[in-house]
Amino acid sequence: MTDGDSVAQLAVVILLLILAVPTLATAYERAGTPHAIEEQVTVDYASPTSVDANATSEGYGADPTITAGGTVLNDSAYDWDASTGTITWGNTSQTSDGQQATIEYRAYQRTAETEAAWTVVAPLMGLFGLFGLVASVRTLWSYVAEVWTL
Amino acid sequence: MTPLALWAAVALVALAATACWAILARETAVYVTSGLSFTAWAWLAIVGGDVAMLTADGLHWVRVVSSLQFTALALAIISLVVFALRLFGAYPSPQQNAAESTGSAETTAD
Repeated sequence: MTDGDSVAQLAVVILLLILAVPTLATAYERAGTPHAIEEQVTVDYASPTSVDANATSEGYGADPTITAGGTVLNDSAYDWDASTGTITWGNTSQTSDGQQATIEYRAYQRTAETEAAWTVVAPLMGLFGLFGLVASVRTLWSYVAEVWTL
Repeated sequence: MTPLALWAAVALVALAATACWAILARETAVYVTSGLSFTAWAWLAIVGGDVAMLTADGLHWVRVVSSLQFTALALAIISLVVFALRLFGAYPSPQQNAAESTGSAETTAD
């Protein structure tokens, strides 16, 4: 027997499903905290250099420190793209092409706990959607059968 | 609002929704309360560790929240199981339903 409450509950479940999946996916995508990383890179005037560490959609810290030949480079020697983690080298007297440099930067990365939680929750979201679909079909079918006395 | 305050607020919503399907209103809106509690517990599990690391007294909260993350994950799974049990007509169980209906009828008669 389907009543108004069941249909209202169905509507809320559908709304919840529509909101839940993007909410959880966005939470995972943006669940990064800044981790300090030190890395060796090679100065290349011809093409940008990408850092090795992966990052969430929050990207990388805005102010890396790059050291070459024992000297901290100033901003004119390179251009740092905090969204992609790439360094575009400027042809200045501070560096030379092919020189080794050290970059210290921050990358937004997820904790091990977050990755573990996502590994479990991601398949559950699919199940949640499946159960919601079955619940919706059942409620709608009961409602239709009741209205048309099938 | 700090990340930890938001996390705690969602935890309260999750607890309230869980209390509804588990204790307070086991025959009412189980789909909604279990679905809400699943979403809220899952969110708490996903963002917990990062929220702790963004909080001022980070190290202390990392220890607290990291352990709570796995509790939240367990409760998310239980909420989903309850959603499925309700779908298959097994929650609340027919015996519970009958007992509660009888109790309710007796109370009304008194």
